[in-house]
Amino acid sequence: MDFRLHSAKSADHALEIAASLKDGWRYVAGGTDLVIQLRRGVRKSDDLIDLSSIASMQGIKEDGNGFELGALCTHKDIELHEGLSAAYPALRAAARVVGGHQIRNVGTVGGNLANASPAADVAVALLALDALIGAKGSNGSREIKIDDLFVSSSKTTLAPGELIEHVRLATPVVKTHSAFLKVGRRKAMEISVVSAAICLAFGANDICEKARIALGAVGPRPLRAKAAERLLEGAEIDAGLIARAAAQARAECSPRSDPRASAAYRSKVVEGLVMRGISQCVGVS
Amino acid sequence: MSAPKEFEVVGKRLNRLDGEGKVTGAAVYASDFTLPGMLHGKILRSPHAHARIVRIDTSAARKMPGVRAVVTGASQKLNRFGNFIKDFEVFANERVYHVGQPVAGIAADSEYAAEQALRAIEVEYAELPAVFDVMEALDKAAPLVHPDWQSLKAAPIIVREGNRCSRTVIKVGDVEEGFRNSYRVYEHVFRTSPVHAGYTEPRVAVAQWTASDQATVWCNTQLLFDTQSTLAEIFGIPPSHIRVIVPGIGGGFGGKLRLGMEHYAMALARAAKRPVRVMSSSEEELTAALFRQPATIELKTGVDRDGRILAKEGRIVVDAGACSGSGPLVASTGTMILAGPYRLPNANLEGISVYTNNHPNGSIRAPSGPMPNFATESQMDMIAEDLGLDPLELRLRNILREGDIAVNGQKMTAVGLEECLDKAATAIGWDLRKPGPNRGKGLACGWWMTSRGSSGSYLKLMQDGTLTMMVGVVEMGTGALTGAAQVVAEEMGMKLTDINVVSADSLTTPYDFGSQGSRTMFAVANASREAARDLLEKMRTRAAKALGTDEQALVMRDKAFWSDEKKITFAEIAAQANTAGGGLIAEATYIAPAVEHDASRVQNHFSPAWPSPSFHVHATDLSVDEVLGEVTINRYVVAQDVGYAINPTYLEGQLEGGAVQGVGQALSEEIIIANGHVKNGNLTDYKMPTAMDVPKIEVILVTHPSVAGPYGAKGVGEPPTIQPPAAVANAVAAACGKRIMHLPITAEKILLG
Repeated sequence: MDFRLHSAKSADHALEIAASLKDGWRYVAGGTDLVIQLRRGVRKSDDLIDLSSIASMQGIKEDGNGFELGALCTHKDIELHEGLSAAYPALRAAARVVGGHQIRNVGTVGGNLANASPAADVAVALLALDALIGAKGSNGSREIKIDDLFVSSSKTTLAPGELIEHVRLATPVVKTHSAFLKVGRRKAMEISVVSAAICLAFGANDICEKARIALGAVGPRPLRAKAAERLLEGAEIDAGLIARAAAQARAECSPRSDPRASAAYRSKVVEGLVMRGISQCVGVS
Repeated sequence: MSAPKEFEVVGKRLNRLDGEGKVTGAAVYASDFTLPGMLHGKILRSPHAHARIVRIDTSAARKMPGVRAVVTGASQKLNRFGNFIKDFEVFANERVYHVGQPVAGIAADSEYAAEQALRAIEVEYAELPAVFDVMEALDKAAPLVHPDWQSLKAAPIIVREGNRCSRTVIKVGDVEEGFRNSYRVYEHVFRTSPVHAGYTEPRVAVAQWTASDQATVWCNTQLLFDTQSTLAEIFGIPPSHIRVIVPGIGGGFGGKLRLGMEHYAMALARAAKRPVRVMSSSEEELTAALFRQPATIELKTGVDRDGRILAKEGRIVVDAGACSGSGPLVASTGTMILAGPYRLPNANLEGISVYTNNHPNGSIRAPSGPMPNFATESQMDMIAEDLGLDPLELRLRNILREGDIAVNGQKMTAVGLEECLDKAATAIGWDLRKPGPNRGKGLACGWWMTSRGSSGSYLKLMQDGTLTMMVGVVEMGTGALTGAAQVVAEEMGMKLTDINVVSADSLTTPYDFGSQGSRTMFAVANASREAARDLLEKMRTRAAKALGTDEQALVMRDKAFWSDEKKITFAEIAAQANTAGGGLIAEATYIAPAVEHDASRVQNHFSPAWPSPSFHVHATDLSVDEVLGEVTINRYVVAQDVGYAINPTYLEGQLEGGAVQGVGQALSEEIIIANGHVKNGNLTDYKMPTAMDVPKIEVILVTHPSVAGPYGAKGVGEPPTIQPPAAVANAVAAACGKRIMHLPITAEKILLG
């Protein structure tokens, strides 16, 4: 592991540094995944641009429209933010099961998204919450719908040099309930073998008006089970429908076998997680 | 009737002598140790499971910045080594026979420079056919891992044939007759996976040559003297020319019994003419350490209508990996675990170890315990279920009791097994075995030995009236040396803190078999106690002379000898002896007495009789998530016959830690290997249990004293890792009806199995 570290003072400064470097550079914030990859020789970078001291990208802001999470917000910041936790329990549930305390104190939401691991917990939760990703590149700023961000494992639609500045979440409508569940081989310090984030918004008469089902580690990217979502939307959710939606979600996955688990197990378990996640949301509604 | 004798120091929950340094961080471990001018070594390892080395070119690496020495098999004449068969090479010569086998080493100014230079070494390999499955390896048509096996030097007890590198048999009665008379006969096959010892501190060594044929090595081995003699053998110099010192060790659990980095550090230091430190990375630990052998266990048991065992036939096939290591020992001792602590009128039990092109394995805590115990104790529950019997009752009908003859012909004494079963069952609430849906309880019992082997102890009375105890073992975190010091303090009428412990220097401390085999406190305390008695006699003689009285008239109290109102303190005795008497020292050695067994029942057995056997029962109450297959342990109880608790606090700690380690092997830990390549060689994917995975371990100490043990103590360290896989498997079966016969018991196996 041998690299030059460039400290960026602002997002614009980071872009400036990036423009001056030859290919092979990387942005680094918490570095919880990148440093390990560099150390193991899986990835090689001669230059790292350190974003961690950019003041404008820190913290969580709350206004009448919702929340703005700076890209440098740590998993621990999310876990401990009361307003955010009350609005979106799924996000807190995801943030508090990323690695161990040391990882959560350092790892950032921007990194979790830009790293684009299909097993990233916070990314999966944000996918269920329709987050908007504020990005800045040489062509200026734009907002990307989170579902349009992920391409495949470690690939996003961010342009070369474009960085994530913030993540926006709208204030949930009154009867919104969310849940995040994951399975792994142990009960802590675990990378998800499968994860599921569910967010359901209910209208009058307990009709489900909006459903989001986001799934982790069952495809090349964090994915939405959109056909399963459509089964729920406009319906009054009962046990039978939950089972049908879960089976549909399972059908929308294309899990792989790897040393962590087989495709068959992932496939079976994703159905169970979705069933449980929807039940949790319905249970509190 | 007299009241039981009260002791002042033994049996007390006193703080460890090395406790403060370890809690504050002041303690020095081997990985903290540095020398001026020290270089850093790194190892280039084989990417192939079996290949001929066509060419090695180190010329580019030698020119890299900071590189001071490069060593290959060709550049230094180093002898082969191995505990039972000389089948290890320090650096590969003509062939590599496992992935991760060292091919070259580099010493450089920094670890980073050494690592970079490794990439500049060019090695050309020609791949050869390899074998990874023990059953395939036993086939006559399989490629030989060591085509030259017949020319490899081996211990006489080793019986080899091609890839089979050892065979041990225990035979009693006539199993065929037993099966014919059986009401039912059960046949099952169980399998286990390799696991890592899980020590926190990676293996590390700093070596310095002090003359052309003399070296000192600072390392974290558990066995000073075995390391010394093995290094002497490799480098072809007298053992006394190699000084092995263990500054401190961050856990061992058997994974540091055999050479770790010592030989690489020595070879590189010799080439560089500078001290060299080599430490394995966590990736190397998880891909190239000595793992617990995976095993296949075939078990056939015949019982009568009441569930009494009439015949047992079994075979444990141990995957030794590409070098035999402790595989032969593990397979051999495994036969005793196959038997289990049961009365067996007829038995035919075989243990074999087999070469494959997998990474060589080692001896992890209770090396042959968990694998055959998982098989035997799982099968006991399967038999109970089939016969409609309570698994506890089935065990009570078969267990060894006081005076029974075990499978090896040994007469059993101090047998606390029934009490362990009763107490564990009561504690876990056995009456309610299925307390709710998807929740169940299971138990497993087992036995183990207190290994023999010599210990020596030197004692000297210090000027201030305290005592220094010098022993050749390593305190590896068990508190064994605090326990031994408690025994000495009791004997001497001193406080525990009056005992100064010096240990783990092969030059200055007496020979010791080492920190292994549940024997450390047992043997060191016995030797030291003997030495203390001798020292005390010498002190008494001096005291009597000084006070002008008979030795018999002296009373020892408050670190002084008294004759009526006159006294002489230990400090005064020491001062007097030092100035006018040449000082006061004593020494003693100890080896546990041999235990009688029936030699006609065993063939090529490494430990045919079990000194001071211990008995243990684990019971657990767990839940299985019906949707996800995940296991949650609600409660976990360990009842162990420890003979006597010299220091209950550290004894409980050992039993808790061992149980947690065993739960890891039961539920989550496995080195996943495909075609000789480890697939989860990092701590993200090798899953040792966290605090969230294990509840508080409830420990019950049962005490049936061993005649040989200090104050009746038995060996305690290894046993708690033996029973968890079977106890958990039995509880999972009780909870959800799924019987998992291949460790680990993952959620995936429960859900899809």
